[in-house]
Amino acid sequence: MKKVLCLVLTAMLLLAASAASAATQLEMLCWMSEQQEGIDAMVDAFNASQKDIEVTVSYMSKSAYFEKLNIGLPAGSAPDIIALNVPSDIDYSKRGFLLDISDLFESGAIDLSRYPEHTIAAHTIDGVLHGVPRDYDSIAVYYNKAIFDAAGEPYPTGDWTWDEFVEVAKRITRADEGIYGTCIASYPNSVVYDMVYSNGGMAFDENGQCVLNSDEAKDALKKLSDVILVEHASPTIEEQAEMSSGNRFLNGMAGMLFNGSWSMASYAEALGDDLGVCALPAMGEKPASISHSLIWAIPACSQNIDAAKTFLTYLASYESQAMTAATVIPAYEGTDALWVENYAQYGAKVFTDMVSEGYAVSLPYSMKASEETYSMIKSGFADVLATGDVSLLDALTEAVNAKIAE
Amino acid sequence: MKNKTERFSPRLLLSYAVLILGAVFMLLPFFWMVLTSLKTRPEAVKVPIQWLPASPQWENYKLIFTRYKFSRYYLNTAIVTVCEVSFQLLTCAMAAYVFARLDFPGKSFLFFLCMTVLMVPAQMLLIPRFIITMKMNLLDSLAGIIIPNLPSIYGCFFLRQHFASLPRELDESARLDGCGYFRTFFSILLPLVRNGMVAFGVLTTLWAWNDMLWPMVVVQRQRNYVLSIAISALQGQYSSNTPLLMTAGTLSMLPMLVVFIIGQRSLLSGIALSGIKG
Repeated sequence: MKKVLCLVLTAMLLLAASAASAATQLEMLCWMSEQQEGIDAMVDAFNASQKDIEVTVSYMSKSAYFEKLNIGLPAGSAPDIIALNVPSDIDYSKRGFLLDISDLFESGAIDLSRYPEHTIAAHTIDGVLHGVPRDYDSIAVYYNKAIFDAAGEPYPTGDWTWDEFVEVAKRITRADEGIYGTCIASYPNSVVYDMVYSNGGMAFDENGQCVLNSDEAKDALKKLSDVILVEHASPTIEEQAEMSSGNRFLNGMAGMLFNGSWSMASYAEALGDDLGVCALPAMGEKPASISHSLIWAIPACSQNIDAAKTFLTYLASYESQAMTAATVIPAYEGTDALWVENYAQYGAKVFTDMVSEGYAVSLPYSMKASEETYSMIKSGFADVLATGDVSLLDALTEAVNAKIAE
Repeated sequence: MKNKTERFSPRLLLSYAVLILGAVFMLLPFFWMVLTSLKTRPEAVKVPIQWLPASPQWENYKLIFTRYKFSRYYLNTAIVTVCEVSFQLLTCAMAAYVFARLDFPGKSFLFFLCMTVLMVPAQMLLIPRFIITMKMNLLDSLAGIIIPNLPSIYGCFFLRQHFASLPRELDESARLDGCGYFRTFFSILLPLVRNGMVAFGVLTTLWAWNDMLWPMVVVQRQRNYVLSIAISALQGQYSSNTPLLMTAGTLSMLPMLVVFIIGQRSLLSGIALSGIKG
């Protein structure tokens, strides 16, 4: 009996000792599970280099992720490190859910000059940046070489105008076989905003008011809808409801597609050597490529703020960001070249060139009701592209501004 | 002779044809899921549809258990399901017996109160439940998933119908033979509502197994995930591995298929009696 008691007591002592010396546990949550290999490697490397901090990373789907944060953050319970896109950053910053980390920037622990300017600008809400950019994306033209070969058309090289793009799209269209030269979708980020900004228009002005009723924006949408309704070089919006532009391209039914760098991996897998990439055409004086980025941030309710800051500093380093380069363009200076290298054979460099040559525009969001206004604009664009009636933009702008004023 | 004509009567043939057509419609999505789980990613989104994979990708099934560690989530889901279902079966049957059989002042009011809880949408209770669970220090644990799901008003109502359908004479003769409430409940009535119990058991097993909203809100670390969250986590930021998702779907469906096959007969008669289905 005594022996047993002794054993139990020793075990308890050992347990207590190990608990006392245990490292600070940090919880990290993100939704980009296709980047799991890179993120896991990043976290493992950090854990191996640290005695006092241990990070556990978990993944959820995007909808589950934000549902969880939307309940947990107001109640004061959230992971220690989270990833945020621009609209959620706007929402959480304005509600005071995110930790102010200006001390890390001021002390030089994190050097903001190492990140593309537009990624920092997009996440600076009311003058405060609450996190570190982790990646960015940009838009370019994907094309299917097999469709160009069949039409005897040389591959596009970029540095082209809108009219040249439309001519090429018309020449490679083979309507009888169901193959279109391009597929003009109504996505604001990958298609419409790019052309509106290239054409000299804007989505929101300096005062945060929607200005999609400008002549430049109307002209851009008119030109986009003409490709569908006048030139018939793209399936209609109704036809795209049956099969999305992305799937059409994957299945060799669209010759050229405006889409983001995020599709590089899956298109390369599906099309192989038939895939090519070139720069967006310029509708106005120069092309514009809409770019969005995510940040790593610390919720204000974290119980382990010091440890979380140490980890965030690591996430802001070249070493850590380089590890995600297999799947996304990392934000830290120089790491984007690693991504380009992975897809060099397709000409992936145009995606980072769009940014380094100054053509990147941060994905515009309203500072109020970001998500709602974005989806209003998205469906508004679909209406315009389906009918070709650009006067619908007046009503859309009015509705968006009313929503902002609410 | 008569037998023969019946076998080939056009009416019978027609009804079988309709039933087979219905079965094909119901089963198609499941076959589609299993077939897709064996395809490569380009094959999965190919148009026109490619039904059969060129060479079956069994790799996906291996990946699910090696890289994505699904055995852990299987175990978690099984623990949650077993705890919730067994506790609900016991407490719901007891409460149902009380509401169906015993007479005490305020019974109808109490039953009415319970029913009103059914009227409140589950989403409305989410935040209060979260805050209570947080204050009980149960966040990010399996107990946090299980405990708030232990009582079930729905089950109480469902089983009450079954108890009410039994003749009261049974209770009375049991009483005459010297049974107390517990004896009457466990030895006499409970075996007779077996169909209802199995039906409710199968339904709650399905619910507990598939529930995603509450576990997702409660758990944080991946090792506490249940299958539903783990599957949805396979969707990526920009692209999803469709065959892998379908593999996970197939694997998580299999145990439920077994439960359904075992409980099928009782489930159908149990639901027919109460007129309620999930």
